[in-house]
Amino acid sequence: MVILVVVIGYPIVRAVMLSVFDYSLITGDAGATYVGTGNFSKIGHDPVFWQSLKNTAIFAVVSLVGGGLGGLALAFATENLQGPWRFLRAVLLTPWAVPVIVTAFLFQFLFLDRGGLVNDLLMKSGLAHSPVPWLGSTQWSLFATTVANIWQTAPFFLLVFTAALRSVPNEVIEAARIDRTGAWVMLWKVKLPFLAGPGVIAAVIMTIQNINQFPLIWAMTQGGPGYSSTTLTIYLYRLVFVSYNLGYASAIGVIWLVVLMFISGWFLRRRRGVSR
Amino acid sequence: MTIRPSARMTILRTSRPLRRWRIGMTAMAAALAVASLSLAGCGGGSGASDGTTKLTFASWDAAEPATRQSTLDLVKQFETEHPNIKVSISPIPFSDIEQKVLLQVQSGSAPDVVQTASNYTADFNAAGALEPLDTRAGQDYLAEIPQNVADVSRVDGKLVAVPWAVQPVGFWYNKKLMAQAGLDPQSPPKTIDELLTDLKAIKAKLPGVIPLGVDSTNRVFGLDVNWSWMRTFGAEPIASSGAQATTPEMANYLNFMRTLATEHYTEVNQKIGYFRPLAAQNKVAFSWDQPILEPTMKSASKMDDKTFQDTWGVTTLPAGPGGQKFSVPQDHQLAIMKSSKAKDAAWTFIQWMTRNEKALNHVVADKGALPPVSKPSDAVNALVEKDSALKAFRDDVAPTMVRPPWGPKYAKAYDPIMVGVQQMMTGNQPVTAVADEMQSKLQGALQ
Repeated sequence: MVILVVVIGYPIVRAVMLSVFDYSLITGDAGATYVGTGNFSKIGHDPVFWQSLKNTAIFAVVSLVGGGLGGLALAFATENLQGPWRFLRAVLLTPWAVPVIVTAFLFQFLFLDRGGLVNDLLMKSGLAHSPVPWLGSTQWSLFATTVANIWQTAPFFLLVFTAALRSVPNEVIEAARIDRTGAWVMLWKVKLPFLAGPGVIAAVIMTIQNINQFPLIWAMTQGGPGYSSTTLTIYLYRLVFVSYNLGYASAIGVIWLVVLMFISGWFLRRRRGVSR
Repeated sequence: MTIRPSARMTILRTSRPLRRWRIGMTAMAAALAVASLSLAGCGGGSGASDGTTKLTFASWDAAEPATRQSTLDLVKQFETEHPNIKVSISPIPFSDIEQKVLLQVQSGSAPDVVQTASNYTADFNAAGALEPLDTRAGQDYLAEIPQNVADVSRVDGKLVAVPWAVQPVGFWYNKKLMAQAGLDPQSPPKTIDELLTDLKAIKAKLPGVIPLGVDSTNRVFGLDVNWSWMRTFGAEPIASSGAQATTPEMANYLNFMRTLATEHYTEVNQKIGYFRPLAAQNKVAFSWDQPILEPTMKSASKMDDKTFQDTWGVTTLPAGPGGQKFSVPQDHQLAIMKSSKAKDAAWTFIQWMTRNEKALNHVVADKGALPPVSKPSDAVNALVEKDSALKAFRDDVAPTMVRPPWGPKYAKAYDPIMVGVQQMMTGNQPVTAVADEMQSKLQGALQ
């Protein structure tokens, strides 16, 4: 309990306290002035906050859907691998084991303007006539970071769904086969319901991880160009460690904590519904 | 089976897991107490019982692979010459050193001496963390430093750090690529118009080459290196009167940056470090970079001195409509923290690092920078003289250095300015819309 209070309770209390002050890391306690709800009302008029929030939602949802569907497809595709072919599943899990920073640099090279594999393929196939500035344009930077995140997270879903598929009772499968159930119905009506529970748990974990994703985006674009790939964690980092505006950053942090608690609560209620 | 409350307490008092838990907690508390005592000893210099003074030195040179070993060797040399001073090096990467040291300042565990540069110095000073050095340095010491170099280390007229390695940003040009593009390799562009003509020729003749390497990232360094380009067009988006992003001069600068991006003369949102290895492979024709580019390229390409000098030259930034040329100082400085309990030893260390021949040799040979004195020793001077790029930095580029308006406001202003620059380079909004948005955000940030 003491450890919980120190490790979790103190930072939350401290963040709430700082959120009502105009507090700069440069001037510290001596320069702090009480602003009441000033920092919270400032959030409402802060266009960067709203753009970051929108980017966070797009990044988290598209990553979740892309990673989840990719993991599900891979789990079904590798479900019946036999003998040495099972090694393929281990290979598919590799991106999950690769450090995020390595993934970031890998995709940075893939998406390079000149010499990047993606642009080379696009230009050789005639789909593009000039290199696409994947990381250097406001149009594509969020897309590029999201693709990298999907590649990194899909294997987690593969792992979860593979384990869940193995837990589908043989009796259920046999009964479906006796009833001459087609492949699509077997997948959709028989197996998928068994994946819903683990899928919701995986979705909660991944949603929170996607929302808090920092190193991947920072290493690939630093949130730019402009604010085009700035998510809330990137914005918070800039406020705290570049502008040293701890008071305002804490106010955003407090609101963000509440939002995350709601998201987690909603997912967990859904899970209870699924379990019943 | 039910257990009475009193019996449950007895079980709890005597159960083995609980005893283990208590022992564990006691051990943890003891470990925390020991750790906090040890941490209390970390900050600030201190005198040891054997008469030696211990200094802590926070440095990014000691963290970067290119300069790490030579810095450690240099500090060891200092300790050999000063057996009563021991220096404990705290290696912190350049990008982290400001935030780490500011956190240390706020928690009362700041180092004694810190390596600093550009806006970091102004921020440390605004935090009240730097010891004024005018009196300690004295007239003789200060007289040896070129005036414009000393001014970089002053905040509101006070000397709060001393220059260690002078690093103006200069215009590097690749003579071989210029020749391949049909340009005169001995005649780098002198004006912005000439630059645009040369960039067009390079783009047309050498499609695999990046015509110009310029940092356009959203960070303080990004604004620093762009400050010279802005001044070239007569723009100063932050001045004593406040935000000035909607001037015609700023519009000219922003239009120029859009041309660089839309004509693919440069790559947007790239750090200068991205262009350096490409420059070493002869894939960058011009680069707006510091003297450090030379040792970086030599180390990456294993190029000898002669080949390097045959390939690369340095000159001033092309002049804009006003005809003036600008550079920005990125000098490395050394400062003493106000909280240091060993300021005399710290000054002895700093003085040695900025005046000793071995230390200045390290500045030129290992850091690839200019020494911070007008008249270095013959040996150090010979190192500069035999290097045509360093000579150009000293004779041509350094005199054009203009200090940006560094300070806490600058730290708040870089984000709106560089975001506007990136929007201009990557979007298709009219320049007036970008400038208006930049102005509005700047005003908010500077309030």
